[in-house]
Amino acid sequence: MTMVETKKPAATKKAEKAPAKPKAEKPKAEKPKADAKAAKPKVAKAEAKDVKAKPVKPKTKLELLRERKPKGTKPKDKTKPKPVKEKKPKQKEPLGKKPLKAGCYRIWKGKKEIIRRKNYIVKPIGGANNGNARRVLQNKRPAYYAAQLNKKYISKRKPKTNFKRLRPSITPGTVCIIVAGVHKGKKVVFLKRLVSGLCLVTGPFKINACPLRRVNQIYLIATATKLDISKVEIPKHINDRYFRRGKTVRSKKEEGDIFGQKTEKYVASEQRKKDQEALDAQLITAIKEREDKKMFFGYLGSYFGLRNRMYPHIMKF
Amino acid sequence: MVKKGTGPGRLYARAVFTGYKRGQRNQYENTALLKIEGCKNKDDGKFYVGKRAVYVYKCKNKTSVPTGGKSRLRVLWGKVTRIHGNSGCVRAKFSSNLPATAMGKRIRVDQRVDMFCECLHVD
Repeated sequence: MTMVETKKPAATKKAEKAPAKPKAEKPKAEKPKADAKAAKPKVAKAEAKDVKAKPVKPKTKLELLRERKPKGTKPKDKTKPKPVKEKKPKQKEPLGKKPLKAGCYRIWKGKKEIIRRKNYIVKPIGGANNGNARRVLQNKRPAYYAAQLNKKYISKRKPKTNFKRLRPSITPGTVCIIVAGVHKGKKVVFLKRLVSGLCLVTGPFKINACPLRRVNQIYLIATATKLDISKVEIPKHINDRYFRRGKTVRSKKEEGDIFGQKTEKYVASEQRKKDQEALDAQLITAIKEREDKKMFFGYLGSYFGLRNRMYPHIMKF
Repeated sequence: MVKKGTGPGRLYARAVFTGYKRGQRNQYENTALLKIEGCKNKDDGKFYVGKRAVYVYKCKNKTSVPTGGKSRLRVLWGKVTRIHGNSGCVRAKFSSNLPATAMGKRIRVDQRVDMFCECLHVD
């Protein structure tokens, strides 16, 4: 309370006597400023006289700090309006009334309400002396607590090559030779690269019995022959998911030997056949626009093979 | 449109297993030396580095094959690791060391690059 009183008179005093010369009766807070003011005219006089100037006392850090913000003496600038903080209306939910989901309970931390979920379920059990029920944990505690947390397991068998890089020679429309697999030796048209990194490729099926297929780029030798497929529209639903292999569902009540090989022969789905025909039609129209279409058909229909004196390291495909 | 009679031709490069990596009096069987047909200098040999190599041989007993069925053919997979010398010879490492009986015999060098190999062939 006393502090408040002293503030006011100090402020008024300063207002009065700021222009006039400072006196020694002033409160301490004003002293350094007073000193500064006293020092200034002295310095000025000294400079004016130019002879025998009294050395100015270097101000201590403390004094400088006090100069900047003399406590309690800062005049309140009443001309500036105070910045008004907009109070955001708090959406206050009525405490203790929020409906709880099954398995949840609420606890109170002071006035704060925290809703938690029960980790267990109460299951009834049989047996006379078993207490009728058991608590079964939903999120069970881990069976193993590692001594070292966050251990990074580096996959040892990781492909080191830059995964996203597709050989620059393989562009949409390039005729490629499949090097291995069921369709080895066939010349196929590269359509596009799928998200998984595999290359979407097609015979076309009509020409060389190679269907729409995913192929790793390492199985492809790109030739210089390029087909213009800018007008060919590859449907968006043909992606990695489309080619995903179906899981063979084994019924539990299967009779006979479980280990008996029951590999069913692959039959192309109707969807695949439709898409194949549609895409083939587009590609064949693209081939027909070429001047060398006859040769092109023959080219795609034939197999590739190395002969005598054909060396891959010299060959330009 | 593909004639049923004609199948794909040879897709591998022919090579010969000349011997193991060796000094004059010691040999190291873990690395094999291959002489690839038509490969006459270092630049030619560079093409094959990273490619898969296969040693194919026949045995008396039939064993199951990944594609299904059984066959007398057996295979050792490997890859061409680096060039050897200046004349196009090449070093290769196989999943298990090549048997000495394979010396002078055919090794197939595939066009495929080993997926887990550092160098992907730049076209």
